[in-house]
Amino acid sequence: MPVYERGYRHWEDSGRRAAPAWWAIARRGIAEPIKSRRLLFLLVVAWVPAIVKGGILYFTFKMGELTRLLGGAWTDITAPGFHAFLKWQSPFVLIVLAIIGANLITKDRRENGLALYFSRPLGLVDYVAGKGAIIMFYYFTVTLFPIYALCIFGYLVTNGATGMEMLLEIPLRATAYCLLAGAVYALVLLAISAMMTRTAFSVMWWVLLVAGTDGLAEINALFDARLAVMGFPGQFLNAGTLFFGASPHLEGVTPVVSLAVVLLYAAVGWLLLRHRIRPVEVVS
Amino acid sequence: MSGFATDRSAPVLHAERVSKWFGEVIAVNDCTLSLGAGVTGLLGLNGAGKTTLFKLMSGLILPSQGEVTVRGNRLRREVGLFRRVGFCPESDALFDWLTGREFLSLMVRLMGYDSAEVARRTDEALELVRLSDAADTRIGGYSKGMRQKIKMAQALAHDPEIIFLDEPLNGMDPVSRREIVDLVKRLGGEGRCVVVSSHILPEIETMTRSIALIHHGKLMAEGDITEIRDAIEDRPTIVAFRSPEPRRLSSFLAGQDLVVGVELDEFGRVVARTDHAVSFYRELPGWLLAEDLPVDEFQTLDDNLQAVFDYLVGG
Repeated sequence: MPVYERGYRHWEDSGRRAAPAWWAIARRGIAEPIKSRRLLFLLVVAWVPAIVKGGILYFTFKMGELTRLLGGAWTDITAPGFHAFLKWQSPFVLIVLAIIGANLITKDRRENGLALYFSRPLGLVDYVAGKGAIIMFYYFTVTLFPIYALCIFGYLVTNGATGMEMLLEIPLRATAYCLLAGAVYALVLLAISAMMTRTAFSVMWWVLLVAGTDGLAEINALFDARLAVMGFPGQFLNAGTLFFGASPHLEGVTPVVSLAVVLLYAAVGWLLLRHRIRPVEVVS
Repeated sequence: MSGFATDRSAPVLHAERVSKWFGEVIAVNDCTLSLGAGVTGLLGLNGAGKTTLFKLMSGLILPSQGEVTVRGNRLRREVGLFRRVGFCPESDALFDWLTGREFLSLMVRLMGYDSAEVARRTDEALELVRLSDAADTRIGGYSKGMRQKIKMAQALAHDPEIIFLDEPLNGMDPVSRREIVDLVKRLGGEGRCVVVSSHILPEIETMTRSIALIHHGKLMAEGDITEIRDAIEDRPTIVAFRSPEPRRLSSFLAGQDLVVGVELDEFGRVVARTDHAVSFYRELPGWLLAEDLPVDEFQTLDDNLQAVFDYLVGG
């Protein structure tokens, strides 16, 4: 009978973790892209609509009549007005997420990262949560954080019920929507990233999914409004009207149907991730 | 809490009737293997199933049949057990965009340590593989030997009990090679379970005498090289002696039951063949003393790893 008792005794497992594994992945992934000046510039540009809207808010309350002449959603400080703001941010969401997310798993698969990650005490959920948190952080940077800033700014330059609305109701609506949209965007983008070993292909598929299906849906909707359901980003905005109490974004598709489609995207994304992420080495 | 109990009477690492197939290809077929403290070399020809068995044992892939346990706990089922495991992959593709320090910090942080502990262990691991000077250089700028070292460092930084090293000496210069061999031996000597996979037999032989040999997906032999050699019955072990009295030594050895043949070779050496090398070596000192037989040196000609490997796999 072998004596295994002679084994190494120094090792002791306290079972206590300083931070969850997903957070270790997320903090490295969030910190890394900020080193790029190009991305920083893009993020600043992505805040321009928020700065413009903030300026209009200021003038709306300080110089009322003058700015109301501008009309449209720019002067709308109700919840639907912020839903419109998210619509303006769509191009930035497309570009920023392509830069941040398209290579998150692609790179790990290509660079043998999966074996390094999964030889550590973390599971698929930790890994996906960590990578997803990176995407969500940058999604929030161009959507939710500007809304928070606008709400705080609005609160400072207004008073009474409007101020309370901007401090409580709109941030809550925006948070709920952005959490859902950010999580689903993250799952879908990670699924695309997990299927590719070249970043360029991940970006291409992401752009095709977002811009391609949107264009296709718009053309098809000319013949049948219900075909607008084919557009990927349109479903998010249409479902978002439920959160912001806005009128439907799409004519032929109810917001509830769009919400179901968004949840379906999430399910498909998760299934693909489960199928594609294997802790084996990719030796080129 | 960690949620798993440690059974110290169980083998550190145990594979029980493990099989793995990919489609219709059986990569590993019904392998049972128990490993304890010390260094074990996992050997096999390319395509023998060595890498698959290595990944099965390190918990990177799940077996199609059977199970792998660490101290009685299933590795993939209890991910917390990976805190006991250090894994150094074969491929030298790494996170090229990070510096050595950033890479190690990430790898250590994933083990669940706080920032102070991460910094301490990162520095220690860099020092251990002598990469402190290059710690803040991007991995993309590392030489092949340095990449190999940083991979070793990430496998060791959290002080694991079980260490898997896949081709650890690939691309290293002779000095680094020596350092890593010494390090591996030291880790084994500390009582850790170190599994080294390599297809370069002299490399393995410099680190350990304990091997597991896989061929066509089957575990062909496991244990000390001499014991395995001894168990190969159709190939007697060959021992050569240099003696000032070769004829007297030959005639004495020829009369022993453990010896199946004796001859004098062209170098004037007495060459004996034995079917039971372990017993032969045990008896030999007594024989020489009792008979007052002078022997300048003796050498086993074919219990080295290459010979064992060749006999077993027909190389």
